[in-house]
Amino acid sequence: MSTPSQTGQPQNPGFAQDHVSTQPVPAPGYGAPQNPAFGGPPGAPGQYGPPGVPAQPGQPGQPGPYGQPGFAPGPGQQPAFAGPNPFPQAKATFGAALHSEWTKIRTVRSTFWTLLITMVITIGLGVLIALGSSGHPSTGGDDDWTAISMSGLFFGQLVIVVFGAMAITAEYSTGMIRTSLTSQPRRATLFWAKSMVVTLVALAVGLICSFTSFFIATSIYSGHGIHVALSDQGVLRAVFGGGLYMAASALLAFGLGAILRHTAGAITASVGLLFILFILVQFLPGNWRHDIGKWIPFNAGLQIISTRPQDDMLSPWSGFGVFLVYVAVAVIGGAIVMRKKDA
Amino acid sequence: MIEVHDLSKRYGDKTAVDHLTFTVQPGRITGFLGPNGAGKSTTMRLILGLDRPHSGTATIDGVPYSDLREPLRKVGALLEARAVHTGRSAYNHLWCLAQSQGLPKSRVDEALALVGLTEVARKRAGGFSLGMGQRLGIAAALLGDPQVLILDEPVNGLDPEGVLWIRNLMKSLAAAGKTIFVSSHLMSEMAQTADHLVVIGRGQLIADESVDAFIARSSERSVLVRTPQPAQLAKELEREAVPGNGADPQAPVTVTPAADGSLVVRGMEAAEIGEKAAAARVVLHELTPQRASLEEAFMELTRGSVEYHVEMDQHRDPVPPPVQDVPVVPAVQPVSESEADE
Repeated sequence: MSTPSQTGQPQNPGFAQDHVSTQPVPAPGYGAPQNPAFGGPPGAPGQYGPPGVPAQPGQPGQPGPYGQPGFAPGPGQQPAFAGPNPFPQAKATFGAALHSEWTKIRTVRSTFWTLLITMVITIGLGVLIALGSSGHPSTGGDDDWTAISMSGLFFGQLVIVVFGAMAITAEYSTGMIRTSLTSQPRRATLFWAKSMVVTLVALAVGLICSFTSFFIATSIYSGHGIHVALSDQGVLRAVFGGGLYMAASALLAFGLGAILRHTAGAITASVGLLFILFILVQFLPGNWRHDIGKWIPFNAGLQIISTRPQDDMLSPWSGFGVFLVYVAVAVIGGAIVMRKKDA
Repeated sequence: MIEVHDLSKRYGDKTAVDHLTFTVQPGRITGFLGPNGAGKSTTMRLILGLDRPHSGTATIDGVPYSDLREPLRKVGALLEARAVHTGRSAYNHLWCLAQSQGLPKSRVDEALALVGLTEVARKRAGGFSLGMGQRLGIAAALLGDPQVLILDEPVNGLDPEGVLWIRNLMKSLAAAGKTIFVSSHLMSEMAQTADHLVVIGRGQLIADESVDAFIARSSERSVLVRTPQPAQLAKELEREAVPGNGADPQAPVTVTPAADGSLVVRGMEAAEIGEKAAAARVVLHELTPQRASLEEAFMELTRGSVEYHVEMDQHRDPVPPPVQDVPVVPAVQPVSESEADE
């Protein structure tokens, strides 16, 4: 790129904030005189129109801000936009929105950190629990070793909801949402592109977590004479389901984030729905706990990682289906708020 | 061209924008003025489809903003400097915006170079100073080389050279036939930049006219007189102020001595003062008609619609009282600013 300090200002070349001059010499860096794409008039590098000689309307010779052909008029050229469109591809399509959202999500540090912590906690705790359990199998011999290998999901979901919520709430807390909506004013397009990117990223991380946990755990199990393989009944579904559960948790938090537009609020609501509700149900009277317990998001959703049917719980897929209903309510609620409410 | 028709917006029971109708024409800079809380930012947000109006429409070349197929190619907006994710670098901020329209990556480099942020393109926007943040916002506005620019307080936080730069940029873009709609609370800046004014107060339109026409509406006109015999001249002139002596009852003649010994005369034309002085054999060193500055015209014409008064000025008279004691500043800009323009 150009080096704007052409006029010999060693400090702060690009901004010239401390630059004090009696003569208003154009600040180095304002117009990047070395950049042919924006070359202003040859005699006045770094600004548009000589200072003190304001451009008069109806004076077509005034150099435009962009000297590049096709961008805007050079001296004596026709006015801007009369020529061929320099960006024939420029359309704010759904595909473009997906690209944009993918760039957004991978260019903030919080994404990296929340996902790294999710993986460390999910895999680390899963392995620790597998290590402990495999040395002390239950006397009945009915341990669900597949589910135990993914116990880290119980805790990892609390971190991945931070990722899901912040994907949207950070846009509100920083004001970025207003810039985003001026670049993509169709709110539904923006919302669904963003939710798709969040879901796919969370799914990838969730699958890495569940498969890594499973494979490390099975190698530990084999040292204790316990043999579990992906080809066993329901195991592949359970391990894959672990990734699905993580993705759905992130999407739940994303929907709550779109409704609440507040990071702490969205994370609290997600953790409350996934975790606190589960704890509260434990304090209900016995038969209530039995009737209500299986419907709460945590119990319903996590049936997907179970390989042993449990009498008082829903089946794996119907449980996960119930969980997806909660997710859908949050996401559709978020989409409605996004559509109706002022940004 | 921006067309606002019968636009209204309420927040709770507070009306922020009240049946506004105006048009922003291409090829000139239209300044958007109003006291704090007058509804300038709200109007801009309504034009951009960020807020939903309770009534009325706002269109860009006949199309509502939300229906634009390539919004950044049509409209560049600077709403506030900090409408940027603080954790993202300047480059990536512009890149994700460019991607949302399918604009090429080269546009990001060009926009960064245009505002002078190339050196810090990879730094997080959260660490930017107010002026740098403002430049990033301007880069985003210019990213698609739009036909319409909507800039809310663009000179906020910019150093003097940045102010000069944005002023020249707006002028060259207007000369290239683009539509420039710019709000500012700096009247001296507007006086130097704008060709046309849209003035609102309490959400209602106060003026939609040229800068000259707006200033001419102000009644605040005076004549600066320098004389070695100020007391004698004042006596001569104030004789005219006696009612029934031919003086206009609407504009009684007042003579106010200024700190430097000169006199500020209101209610009498310069020619008449000169004749009176000659008749009384008073020596004059200077006789300068003074027109109200844009700032004074603005203060006078928006007085009834100021939302937030300072405490010493809490009366809200429906009819503005005549200005008596405000010293009249020459319509000429202060020396420092006119120097900066040359």
